[in-house]
Amino acid sequence: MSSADSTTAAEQPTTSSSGSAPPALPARLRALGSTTALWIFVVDILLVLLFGALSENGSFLTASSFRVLGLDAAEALILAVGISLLLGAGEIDLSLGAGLLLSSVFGGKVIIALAGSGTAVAAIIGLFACLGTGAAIGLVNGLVVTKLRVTSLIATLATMGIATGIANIATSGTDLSDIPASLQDDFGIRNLIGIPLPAFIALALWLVTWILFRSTRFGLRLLALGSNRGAAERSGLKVDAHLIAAFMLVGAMAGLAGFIDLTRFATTNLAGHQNDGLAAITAAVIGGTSLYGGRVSLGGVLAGTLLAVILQDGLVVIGLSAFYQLIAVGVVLIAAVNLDQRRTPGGLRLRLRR
Amino acid sequence: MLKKAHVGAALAALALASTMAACGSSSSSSSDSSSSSSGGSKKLNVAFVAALVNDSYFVTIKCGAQDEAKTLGVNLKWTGPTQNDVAKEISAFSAASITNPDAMVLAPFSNTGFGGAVRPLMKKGIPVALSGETLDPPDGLITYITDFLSGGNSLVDEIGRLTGGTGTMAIVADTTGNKTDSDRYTGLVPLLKQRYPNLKVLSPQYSQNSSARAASVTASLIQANPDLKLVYTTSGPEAVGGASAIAAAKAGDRIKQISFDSSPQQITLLKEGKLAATMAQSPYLSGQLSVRAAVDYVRAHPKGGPVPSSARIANTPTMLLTPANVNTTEAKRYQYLTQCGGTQGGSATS
Amino acid sequence: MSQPSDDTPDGPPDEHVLVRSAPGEPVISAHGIGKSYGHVRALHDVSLELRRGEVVALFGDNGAGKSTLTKCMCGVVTPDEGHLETPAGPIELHSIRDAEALGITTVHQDLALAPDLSVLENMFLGREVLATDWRRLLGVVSRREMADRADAALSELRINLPSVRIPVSDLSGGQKQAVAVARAAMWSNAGILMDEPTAALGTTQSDIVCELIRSTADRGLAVMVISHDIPRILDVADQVVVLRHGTVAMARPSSEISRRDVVDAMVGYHEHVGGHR
Ligand SMILES: Nc1ncnc2c1ncn2[C@@H]1O[C@H](COP(=O)(O)OP(=O)(O)OP(=O)(O)O)[C@@H](O)[C@H]1O
Ligand SMILES: [Mg+2]
Repeated sequence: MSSADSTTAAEQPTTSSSGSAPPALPARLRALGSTTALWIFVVDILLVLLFGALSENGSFLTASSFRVLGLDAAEALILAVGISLLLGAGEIDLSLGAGLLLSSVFGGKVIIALAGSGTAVAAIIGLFACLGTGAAIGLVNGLVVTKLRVTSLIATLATMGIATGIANIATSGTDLSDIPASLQDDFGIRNLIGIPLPAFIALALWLVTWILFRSTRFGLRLLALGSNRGAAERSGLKVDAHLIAAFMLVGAMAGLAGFIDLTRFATTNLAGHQNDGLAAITAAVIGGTSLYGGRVSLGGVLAGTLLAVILQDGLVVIGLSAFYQLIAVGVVLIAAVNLDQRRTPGGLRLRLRR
Repeated sequence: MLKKAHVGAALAALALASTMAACGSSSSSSSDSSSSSSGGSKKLNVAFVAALVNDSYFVTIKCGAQDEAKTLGVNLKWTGPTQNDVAKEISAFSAASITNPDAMVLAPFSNTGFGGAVRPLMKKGIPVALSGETLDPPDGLITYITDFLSGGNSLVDEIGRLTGGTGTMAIVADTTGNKTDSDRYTGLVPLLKQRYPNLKVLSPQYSQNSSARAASVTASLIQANPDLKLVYTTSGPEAVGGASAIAAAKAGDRIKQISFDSSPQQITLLKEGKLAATMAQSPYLSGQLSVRAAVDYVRAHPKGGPVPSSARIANTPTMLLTPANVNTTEAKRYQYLTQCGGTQGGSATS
Repeated sequence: MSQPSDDTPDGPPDEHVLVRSAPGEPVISAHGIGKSYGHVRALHDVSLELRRGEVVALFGDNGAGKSTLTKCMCGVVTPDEGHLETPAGPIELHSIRDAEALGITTVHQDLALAPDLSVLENMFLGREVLATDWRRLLGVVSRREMADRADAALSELRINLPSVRIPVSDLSGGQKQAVAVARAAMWSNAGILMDEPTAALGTTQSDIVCELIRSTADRGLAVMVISHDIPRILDVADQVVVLRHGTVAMARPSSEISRRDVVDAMVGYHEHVGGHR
């Protein structure tokens, strides 16, 4: 038998042992803080500076302006964090906006019914109603995908319609009124140490999900499911159980966003959440999360969500008229993604590794 | 390969979804009475196509239409999309027209796009009455439309009162290419410029029916315009978003909001002082009158024959609701309904 | 944060206590195995035995039943006839997990690696090592511990990789194959079944894998290798089994036969002409 040194250097990297190899950027770190995410963050910062310079008296660069950004980003970030869980596992959920809506409807009905027994009690039970509704939609999605073997794209498209339909039926097509307005001041538009409470919650959820992917067995296995489903199966992973859990988690996150929506506006918004799900997917994918599973960039999710919100708010602040805004958004999206694609392959990555 | 198939499936699915959403909702009501005045042997079928079924303005139209159908002893079929999208409403209209109704009522989302659908029906002898919006070129049996001129004038007065004719005013509208919505501000702007040359009116921003988007736009406008005094929101979801943004900026003292429509949310905002005024239309009346016009025509022309197109317009009244008058009996008649069977019935006058 | 529970053991069998004793001791044997898919009789009356320290080469034309036999022996497929036996007695395998409980692992034809995960994550997928402190309750993994063990397993097979923390997609074909073999070796303390581990590999890469096959057997494991690369595998094999139309056409020690004998057995030449040259 020939010995190991019969192999060429090209086949077997020259280092004598893996211990003395140059420290590579750990795979997990690379997956979570991808260079794409970094680039989108750079674009975010450039845009903030640009809008700051173009806005009157630099009004875009003030604390109150950042509060506005934070409040506007909260719901979108929660949905984008949620979708990253599923994209990582190689699945998709188009029903997030509908889940948000139906959760806010059921949560709102609970709050209205319990308003007599005190706002705090009503709010807490309402929150659980929202989370429960969202998780229930997730459970349905998960069961349809795993047990009925319907691809998640079609399954969640169907539940999107079903959930929207139920929301409209439950409200007879008119948004809820009679939600106590105090909920707004106590939660939806409340600031904690100068930061909007919903933004706090969204950031906390983002952090928890980041840790989930970085450090936990569950996160690892979700990525394995998205990376090579067959391999994950043959490694003995309980594929269905993991997928159902992921769908339920994401559904509950949509429910959380629904609760925030409810308390921020003290009503529902039946016709206003059609684009939420797609916006979440867009934010995640712009930030470097793969549409085909296995690769998630939580940094990118944050950067991509912020990009959308900065554009949305900044263009209004600098006084660009609505029609030009559409063009500007399109141009910036292409430019941002192109900037990421055009960087010297591996250049930034190599430097990061040093 | 696999990925391409994936994307292809995505597109197919989305196409399918939009087709399905086109027939988002329908319900029908009929009366059991046989009080049909023209002694017809069969009950007439009237199809009503709304621009958006999950909106209190259209729910109120529906109530008016249903009550009138009952009074007249005809069947009413109510349908329309669950999203503000003219293409979806056109396909809902086509779907309704192939059910062979005796008459139709259309509350168009947009003044264009329906010509190809309405005209052939009229030629076939099926009258199409319009509610809320004219068609361009003029078409249909008759159009019941809100009196934007007099409504606009009282809005202009109120804006002058609230701003003193100075400072900046913002407009948060619904969607672009939506004439029902743009009617609420395009006529207003020149009037304002003429009456209050010192009032700066910003170009409209759009919210896509989303309260969240309206809030973000309003918040950004507050940031950008230190002398912002007034936000004009063109319907319910925008008013909700605007109010939330103003409250979040703790700017309720210096920035007032006025709006269009009188959804339950807007009435709540009025009562809470988060809305200085809102322009209420008469959707219930519009629903009643348009159904009555369509049925009357069919009964007056038992032999059928082409229905002549008409540019005839009948105005329905408006009322500017304010915190001061919101609780009056008259104001109550202008508040939109969340479900039918309320107290507005019988308020119609011919 | 609900997390599906899992009954997989957290740690690998301790590779340092690996039974190196008793070379030649049988690990698993097949007796009169038969398997049909509808009208297709994929296997009929196949018997064979895997012993510690021995490499059994399984040859056969396309469709001869090699993969089906492998699947029977690793629990993916249940045979219609015959049975499997371990030194402890007859046994039925209902899933890949059952085979792994016996210390028998499989290198699948497609390698079954998740390209986006790192080498160490792949090697521990389904058997992750959790942190030892309170974080264990949250399902937090101990990457350091896993990296140390993966490094040890790789170096035992003299596999050199830049790092066990790089994603598998960054590896060459040969390195991926090596990782798949190393993973199977790491979780095996009895036998490894390899379905075409050198398919689609270049000459140099095939040599690496053959080297791994030999060193794995030398560690005291039983190895079964399926391949169409007859000369190369013949070199590392101790025993040769040739399947033809689902039955054993030849079973002899590799030292007694040439490459020509194998080919003749595969195509059934000796049956018609009689004997070998
Ligand atoms: N799942 C199945 N369903 C039906 N027939 C099958 C199935 N799997 C294998 N067969 C048939 O069983 C026979 C043996 O197949 P097997 O995959 O074991 O062959 P093989 O020796 O591995 O061939 P190759 O060298 O091409 O991999 C073939 O005729 C094949 O068509
Ligand atoms: Mg095979």
